[in-house]
This record gives sequence, C-alpha cells and structure tokens, in this order.
Amino acid sequence: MAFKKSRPSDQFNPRAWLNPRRLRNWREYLTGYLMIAPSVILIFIFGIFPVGFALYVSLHKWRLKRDVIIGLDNYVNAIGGLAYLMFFALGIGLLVLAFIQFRKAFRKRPGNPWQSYLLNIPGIILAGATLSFVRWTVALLPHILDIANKITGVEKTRLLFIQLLNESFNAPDVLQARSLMLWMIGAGVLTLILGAYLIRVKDNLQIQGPLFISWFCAGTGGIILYYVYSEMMSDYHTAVLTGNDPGFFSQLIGILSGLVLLFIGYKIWQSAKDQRNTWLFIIRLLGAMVFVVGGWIMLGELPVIVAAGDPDLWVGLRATLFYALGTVPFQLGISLFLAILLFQNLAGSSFFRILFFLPYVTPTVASAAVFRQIFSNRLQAPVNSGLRLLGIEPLQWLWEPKGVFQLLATSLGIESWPAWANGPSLALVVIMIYSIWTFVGYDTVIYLAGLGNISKETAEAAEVDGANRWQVFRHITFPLLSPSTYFLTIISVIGTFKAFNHIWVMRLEAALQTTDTFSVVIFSEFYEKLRYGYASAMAFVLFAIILILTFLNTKIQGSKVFYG
Amino acid sequence: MFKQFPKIVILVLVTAALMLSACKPAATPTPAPTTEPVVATEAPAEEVKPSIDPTGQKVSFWHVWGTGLPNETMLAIVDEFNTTNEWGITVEAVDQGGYSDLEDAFNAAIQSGDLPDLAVGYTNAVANWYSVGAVADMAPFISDPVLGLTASDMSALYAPAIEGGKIADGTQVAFPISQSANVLFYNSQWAKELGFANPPANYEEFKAQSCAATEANKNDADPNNDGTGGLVLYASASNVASFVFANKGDMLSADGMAYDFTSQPVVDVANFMKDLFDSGCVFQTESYPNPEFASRKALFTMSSTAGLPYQVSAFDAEGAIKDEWTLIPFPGKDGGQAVNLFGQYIAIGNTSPERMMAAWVFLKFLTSPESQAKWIEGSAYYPTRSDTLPLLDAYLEANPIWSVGTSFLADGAAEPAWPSWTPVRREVGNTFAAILQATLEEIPALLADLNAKAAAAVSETQ
Amino acid sequence: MAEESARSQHGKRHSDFTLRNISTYLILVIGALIAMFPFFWMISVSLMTIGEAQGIRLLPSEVHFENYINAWKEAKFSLYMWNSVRITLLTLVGELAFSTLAAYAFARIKFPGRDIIFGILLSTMMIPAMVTIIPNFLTVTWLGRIGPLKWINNWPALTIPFMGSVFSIFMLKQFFAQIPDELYDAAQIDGAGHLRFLWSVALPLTKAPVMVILILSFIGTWNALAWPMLVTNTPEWRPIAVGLYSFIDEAGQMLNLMMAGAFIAVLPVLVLYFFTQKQFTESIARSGLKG
Repeated sequence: MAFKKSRPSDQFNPRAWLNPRRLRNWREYLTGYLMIAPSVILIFIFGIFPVGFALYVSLHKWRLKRDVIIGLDNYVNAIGGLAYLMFFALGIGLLVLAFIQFRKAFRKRPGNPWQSYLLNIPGIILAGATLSFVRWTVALLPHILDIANKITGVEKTRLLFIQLLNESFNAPDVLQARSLMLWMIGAGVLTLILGAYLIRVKDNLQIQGPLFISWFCAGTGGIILYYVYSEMMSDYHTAVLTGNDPGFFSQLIGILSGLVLLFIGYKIWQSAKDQRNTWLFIIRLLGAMVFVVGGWIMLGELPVIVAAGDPDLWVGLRATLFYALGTVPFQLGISLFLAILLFQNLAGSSFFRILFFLPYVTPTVASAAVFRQIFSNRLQAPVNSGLRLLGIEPLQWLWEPKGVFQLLATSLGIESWPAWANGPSLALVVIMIYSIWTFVGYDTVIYLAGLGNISKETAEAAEVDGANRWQVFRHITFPLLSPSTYFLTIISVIGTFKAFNHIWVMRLEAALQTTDTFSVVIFSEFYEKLRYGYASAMAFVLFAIILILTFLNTKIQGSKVFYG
Repeated sequence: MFKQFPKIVILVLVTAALMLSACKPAATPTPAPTTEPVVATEAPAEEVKPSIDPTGQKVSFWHVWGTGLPNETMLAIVDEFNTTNEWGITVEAVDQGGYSDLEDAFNAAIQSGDLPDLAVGYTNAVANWYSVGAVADMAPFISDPVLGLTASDMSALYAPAIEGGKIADGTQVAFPISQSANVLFYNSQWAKELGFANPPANYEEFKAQSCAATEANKNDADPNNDGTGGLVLYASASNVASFVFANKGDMLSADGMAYDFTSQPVVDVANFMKDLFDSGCVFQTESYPNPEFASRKALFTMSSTAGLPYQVSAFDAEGAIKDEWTLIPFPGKDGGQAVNLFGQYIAIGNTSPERMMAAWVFLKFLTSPESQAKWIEGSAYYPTRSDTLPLLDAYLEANPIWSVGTSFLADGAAEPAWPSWTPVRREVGNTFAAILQATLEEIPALLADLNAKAAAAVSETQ
Repeated sequence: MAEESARSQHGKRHSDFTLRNISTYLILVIGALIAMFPFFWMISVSLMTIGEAQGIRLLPSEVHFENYINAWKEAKFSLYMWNSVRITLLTLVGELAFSTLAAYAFARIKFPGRDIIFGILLSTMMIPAMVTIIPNFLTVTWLGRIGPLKWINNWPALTIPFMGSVFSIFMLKQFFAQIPDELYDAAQIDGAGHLRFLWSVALPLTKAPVMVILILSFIGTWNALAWPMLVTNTPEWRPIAVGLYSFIDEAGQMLNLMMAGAFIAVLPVLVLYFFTQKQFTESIARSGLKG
C-alpha cells in the first residue's frame, strides 16, 4: 500500500507559502479528494455506517425493537469472560497503533522540537472533533429511530417526515453535542491551517496526518479501556451483591499472562534456531518449552470461560474450523495439481480450464439445489445408486449428523470410539465437497498465473544440475508459488468464515445443526429468533476472529512468502 | 485493440441512460392526488355513522399467495372490492413470497415505520408484532356500530378459528379468512390391496400398515422404490403438534402459562416417532412428497389440507398410479382424532385510524360468505364461517376428498399464538430431529432440555 | 495432493512423453467429469418425467422439452431476467465510473490520509453482510422519504448501494499502479490533466479488470437474494434469484421442473462467461497475484 515512487519533490521555499507550486499541490489534493468522494461517500453510507449501527445495536437489549442499553452483556452471553478480554485487547491494540503512528510522525519531525510539539495541537483537537462527531451521531440515532414509533398510527406525509427529522436534529441533547462538535471542528481546521502556515516544514500535512490518527486511536483506545473497566466493575459489584464471585478478573489475568508467556516462548524458540552452539541451543529450547508449557497452563482457564458462553456459538465455531480445515488444504492441493497439469500447455488445456472454472460462476441457489439432490439420502439419488452399484451400503449424506470418523469406526467394527474424535458430520462433509467443487477452478486459475510468472530458466537450470522433477517442484516451483498460496489461503480462510448461502440452502433439520457454521448461527439468531442485539454482538465476535486470523496468517505465512 | 474500449464504455453508458429514462416513468410515478370517490360522500346517509370514516383510503395488503390459482383468486377478490366498495377504498395486493419472507419484510418495516395496512402471518408472528405496537387490536373495528360484525356474523364464525387469533390476554390481534388442517393423505386403495380394510386407528395399526407398505416395495421387482412405501416422516413442530393433539394432549402446561413437553401425550409421541424411525418403515424426502404419494412410494404423507390441489395435480403427472385416496386425521396412541388447525390469519398494521378502518372494511369483505366461497374454491382452504358451506355445494360435490376434511374442523386445536412460539417451534423441530437420531433412554433428557429452552424463550419475550 | 502428483511423475522423468501425456489427459478428463457431473445431471433430469427423475436414471428415456416451457411460464422468468440485466447494467455503470475515479486517485495521486482511507475501505470487506442489511434498509427508506427519488421498489435501492465497491477499487488500483510513471510524465508535458490521462491512457489499458468487474458483478446481481427481497415487493424490479428461489420453493416436489428452472437461471451466466472467459481468467489471475 505504501507509495512506491513519489515524483522528485520540489525544493522547499519557506518564503513564499502560497507560491504556485504549493497551489498546485493543494489542487492536486483537491482532485484526489474529489475523485474518491463518490465511492467513499457511498461506502461510508452503506459499508461503514451499518457497522457503527450494528455496534450500537450490540450494546442494547434489542429484540425486534430497541430496548434498554445493557453494555457488554450480549458479548458476555456469547463468549463469557472473553468478551472483556476482546475489548481490552481492542483498547490496547488502539493504543499500540497510536504509538506506532506517533513514532512514524516523529521520524519526519522538523529540526526544532518545539515545532514538533506544537504540531500535535491540531491533531489533538481534530481527534476530539472526530470523537465529538461520533458522540453527536450516537445522540442523534435514538431520536431518528424513534420516528418509526411516532409515525405509527398517523397519516404519513413527506412534510411530516421532514418535520420529525428536524425535531430529532434539534433535540436538546443533540443540539448540545452538535455545538460541541462544530466548535471542535472549527478549532481543528483553524489550528490545522495555522499550523501549516506557521510551522513551515516540508511535508507539514504528511506529519499532521499520522499525528491526528495517533491521537484519535489513543482517545478511542482510552475510552474503550475505561468503558470495559467500568463495565467489569459494575458487573463485579452486582455479582458480589448476589454473593458469587464471577472470577473474571483472575481469568483475565490468567489468560493475558498465558498469552504473554506463549509469546516469550515463541521468541526464545526463534532465537534458538539461529544459535549455533549446541548447548546454548538446547538451553534456549528448554527455556522456550518452559514458557510454552507455562503459557498453556495459564490458558487452562479457557475451557471454564468457554463453558460460560453460548454453546451454539462454540458448536458453530467448531463447525467453521472443520469446514476451513476440510476445504482450504484440499482446494489448494487439487488446484495446484490441476494447474501443473494444465501448465504443460497440452492441446485443449484451455478447454479444460473453462470446464473447471464453470462451477465458480454458477449461481449458488441453483448449484446448491442440485447438490442437495445428488447427495440426497434417497436410495435412488445419484451418489447412493453409485454406492449400491458398487455393493456398498447407501449413506444418509446431507441427513447424517454423525461424525465421519465415527461412521468409519462403526463400519470397521470399532465399538468405543471417543466422542471428541467424531470429526465433522457427514452432512458438513458434503457441504465441504460442494465448496471444493466450486472454488477449485478459481484457485487453479490463480496458480496458473503464478506458474506463468516463474521464469523457465530457473527450473531448467536446476534440471541441468541434475535435480529430478520432484526436487524442482519442492525446492523451486513451490517456494516461488508462495505468493499465490498466501493470497489463496487468506481469501479462502476469510471465505470459510463468511460462507453462508450454500450452507443455508443445503442445511437440513435432520443434520441437527452440525452444518451450522458461525455465519449460519448468527443468521438464525438474527432472522429467526429476532435477537438483533445478540446477533450483532456475535457478528463482532466473528469479525474479531477474522481479524486475528488474518493477522496471524500475515505474521506466520507472510514471513515465509518468497517474493522473487 | 484497446482503442475500441472507450467506445464500449460510452455505449454502455448510453444504453444505461436510455434504459433509465425508459424505466423512470413506469418506476417512479408521481403520487397522483387522491381522487375523491364519487359515491363516498353520499353513502353513509344513515343517522348512525361509523366511528371512523374510511372514505378514499389506500390500503396495502401483504400476502403470501403469489402463484397459481390462489393468486388469481385473491387478485380477483381484491379487484371486485376495489370496484364495488361504497367507500372508494383502494386495496393494493402485494405478494411477499412465503410466510417467512413476509415476516422478514414486516420486521424490517417495523424498524422503518412504513407498515403495511394488512399482512398475512402466523399468529405467533402477529403476537410478536403486537408486542412492539406494530399491529392493531381489532376489537374496536369488530364492534363498530356500522362497519363491525353483527351478532349473526359472530355466531356464524367457528369459535376455534376466532380464538386462534387471540393472544394470551385475550386481545384479538389477527382475523382468519380461512383455515386448513394438518392431516394425513392416505392411499386407501393400496392399503386394501395390502390387506387393510380400514385406516389405522391407533399407533400399532399405523406402524403395521406403514411397515407392510415398505416391505411390499422392497420385495417387488422394481429397484426404484426400495426404501420407500411407508410414512414420509418429517419431524417439524406442526407435525409434532398434530400428533400431540391427536393424543388429546397439549404442549402447554395445565395452567396454560408455560410450555410443557414432558407430559405423557408428548412423551408418547416422541417414543412413537422414534419407534417408527428405527423400524425403517418410514422415509424422508427433500421436499413435499406429492409425487411419491402419487406413485405408491408412500402409503401416508403428512400435509396441510392446503396441499390438496398439488397432490391432485401430482396424480395427473405422467407415470402416476391413479389410486383412490383420502384424508385421515393423525393417529393418537389409542385412537384420538383432534387435528392441528392452521388459520390464514390477517393482521391490521398500526397505520392511521382511517386507514386501519379501511383495512378492516376490506378484511370484513374478504370474510363475507360470498368472498370466502370464492376464495375457498381458488385455494382449497376451509371456511371460517358456517354460513359459507351452503354456497359451496358444487365444490363439495366436485371435490370429494376435500369434503372429507370439513368434518375435522369441529374438533381441532391450534398452535400457541405466543410470541415465544417463533423460536420455540424451531427448538421443537430440532429436538424431535435429535430424538430420531438418539437412543430411547435419551428421550426424557432431550424433552427436559426442550422445556428449559422454551422457558428461556418465554422469559425473553415477556 | 500436489505432492503426490509430482511424485507420480518423478519416476518417469525420461520415459516416453506420449505416455505421460496420456496419463495427464486421463487425470484431466476424470477431473472434468467430476466437475461437470452436476451440470450433466441438472440438464438430464430437467428433460425427464417426474417419475424418471425420482428413479435410478442418468438419461431420460425420451426428451421432455415441455418442462422448460412449463417452468418458463410458471415463474415469469423473462421479466425477472430482464430485471436482473438492467439492475446489473445500472450497477455496473455507476460502479465502474465511481471505482475508476477512486482507484485512479488512490493509485496515482498523493494526498494526505490516502493510505489510511484506503485501509479503512479495505477493512469493510470483512464485515459479515447479515448485520448490515437492517441498517441499510433504514438508510434506504429515509433516503426515499426525504429525497426526490423513490428508492424502495425502484432501481436506486437495488443499484446505488452497490456502486461503491471496495473490491472494484482494489482491483483497478492494482492495475493503475502498474502503469509506468513515464507515461504519465509524458502526458503531463503534453498538457493532459488527470482526467484526460485517465480517460485516454489509463482506462484503455484496464480492459481486463473491467471484464472481471463486469462478470463478477453480473454473478453478484444474479445471485442477490436477501436484499432485493427486502427492498422490492412487486415483481416490477425483482431479479432472477428471487424468481428462482420462489420457483424452487413452489416446484420443489417436481424435481424435473425445478432443474429446468435452475438451468434457465444458470444459462445466461454460463453464456456470458464463455464469451468473456479469456479476459476474465487473465485478469482474475493478475489481480490475485498482486494482492
């Protein structure tokens, strides 16, 4: 995302602030803003506002209609004490982000330290202005939502709507929030311009930008931390009053220290890899193990907390994990294989490519409906007739809630199969097959492009050196394909967490919710049980999981990606 | 080759602009000034005036009958009302898809405030809407001196149907325009060939017939019907309720204030369904098993009577075996008869008083014996008024199977009109699906668990 | 999987090439058969009688084209398809216009806050769609109430929310960023501004990603179900997925009709894909790699 090549920037002339060059810069900025405006406005209205709205909903008891504010209770109901941890981590994360931005800004700081301190002022005020804008919308929102109540029972006209909207904008608390916001914005813009005028350093705005972000993150992080703290305290006090210690303080400390220990262990492990002295290597390895084991023990609290959450959610999460593990590796493996075959450019390979790609462009409603019939439990359905033709017992497929490993064990005559090793249900496996069927074509195309980018010479040189095909693949082709693999893994993992449509179509009651992934659980809370507040909280938990996974993936896999 | 490209973009832009301009007049009609109805000003000349004047109102009516004959019939009735009503009321019928789609749309409308004037819905959904003030209490309209129902109207209405539209505190939140019952379709001719002269009267006979049919299909030469033959079992909440009602039981506690799924009638149903499932004498299909029933692949299927026309047309399809068949009630353990009654309930959205009154006027028209007779001929539902039946003589004559069902209407029960029934009926379906897969010993625990979930749902919706 | 493949080829490194080709073809054909089976089955069942559809049959004993006629008549497919097409085109025009401008600015103009704004936009791609439906419905209702445009039951609600597309911006940005700076410098010397450069130099180079956006947004509109259902309540603007969905619901028992309807709905997408597949695969691949 970083700007690759800036055009040679002009010599800075402190004398003429409004020289033509500067004007041209400002015009350039303005052009940029105008060009992104339509998209950004639309995405703000239909992409970002709904998220803020959902966050607002998630802090309420909200069954069909807005009820009282209940703070983090929805989150606590969903994931137990982890809810506090989630928001705590969010607050800390924002503070860290603030620190990083701050450091970034100060690398570019001008020579005079006073000037760099002064440049913080517009940043602070503008961050405050942004927060006061948020405060204003939060004040305004209930008034606007209330209009739906006000217009039931009366004749609706456009005039009435505009009048009611006016009233909401002019409610006392909204007005108060608005005037604060306007003052802050005015002061912010004023100081921004003053700062730009008085402190004549090159890239003035490029320093002010990160400073603003930094202060905004710091402010938001601080507010969130304070909010989580007060929520915990009030929950704690009510719990003490009723006479049972919720114990989430000890849980929180336990898990946090567990994570820290794991991190330290990981760091020592990494340093051990580079250690050449065998003894020091072993000592470090042992040290790392101690920390990791300690971390795991501290994380031992986790199951207790998990048990306090919503079982549906954990079952959904488990189904999602099965789904991810059962689809992503197979999808990538099959498509890599096909890509290598197609890459030989035999006659007709583009025809095969088209065929493999067709499932990806087929409308979901149609293809999932077809799969439902193919993997029906009817004896006459295609797959079951195939099995019967081969003399194998027909299966229940989409109707089967039992785990595949359990089924396998039963058919092999193993009586006592442990419940934890049941694996995904057969119904979920059918949905995995559908998913693989759909996405192999897409992945193959990406891999084909990746293969096209690898220079033939490298592989040929290696073959000349006596490497066999497998060695060439293992040591040259596969590492060089890592950007494609990385991209596909991220896309697929996020995709599995968001997967919904085809699961919804193929889901049967007889499968006893074993096919309900996280998204399906959220959907059914929202649309079937009408628990809008709770479902929104769950959606944010899902969002957090996706973010963590993306982050981990970038950290772990990203470091191994070979950008040739 | 790229030079062509801007031209393509322009072409697309122009096409789109043309389309836009072409669509605009149709899509965004400027709201025409409400034309004053000609008749309306003179019509209420009597001394008694309606409490609210519905003259000239426009009423939107969300329904679920978007296809086939029911759609045509409903639109014809709406048209008839629009042209003949003396108040100049205009009804606009809007197809919202299925019941759950309509529910989603109505729930969204609650958020925005743009409620429809009339909406079809399950009574539990309507109870939800009423709890947030989105639909009206119908009492003032029913008792209106001019536009309300007369004493003879009230006595003609079947009590169970009217009672079904009341929530726990007795408020009438929904009004039935017709009703249907959950029954079994029974292939009597095939049963006779299998050696059963009469429909099954209790669980034992039921299982015996179902198993005989399954055996027959397994042992014949045709491999295409192996595994079929008996009952098509689908453990939905409505089917569970039907079995429970047939046992003369209920899913509510004795005081009627809570759910109870641990009473003996419910336990009997659970054990019976489990027994049937384990015997292998039942099977399941992805969708409505009408073709199976029409080709001797199912001796019984569970269906709403509203599915009759589909079953009749399935017998017309190529390859169907044109057996004689009939409707029977769900079996009780020892021969109960009560059926699970569904109503096609309509609620009045809490819009303006005038529009609500106009909506009621249409609703009343819809439930008048004449309209109801038309509606029933187009939809195969059953009437909610006893004085509709005399108008249906020809229809009764032409549809002997349908007329069997009229005898069930007197002795029926309805699913609870509670807001909590929305989540609880899903839990019932889930639990009974789990019971089929579980062992016999696990059934009590599963039912107790269902009770706990239902209690939680009740406390959340209060 | 991949490892197995390579291993199987390992021993035959110097063996006969034709033999290897044959085994490659064999694997490809088997793969294609698996990939194509659902399509084959859909078409085959759509030509059967209902009795045949429920039995063990792979091919109809005689071809029943009337299933298609019945399905077509039953489900008003022509209206729904026309709706889908015009919704797609309208969305596409707005999406392309807005996204091109934004992508160009993000790729080639340096303005304060650019990377941060882009990052925020990217993060919205991870939000699960189900929670945004209700707030967006409220927004659309209010826009209709206070503005001059009718939104519900009309094209704005179906198209405008999708005109700001992060994915398209992201995709086009990758392509604009690849245009060498020299080209722009040369254009600037000729006196061309950003818009001129965008229109006459940059845009013609981005035919491939435009194709991708075209077909993906076509698929998207063709698939859209929940949102159109919510913001339309007359068939006047309802798209094909809604039609197919209610048709499947209605014709669920008639497997043959259902498959005929499904194939009718699938066909336009397949046809479009066949015509654009070259550019499409090309640019989907390129977009994927530079991510």
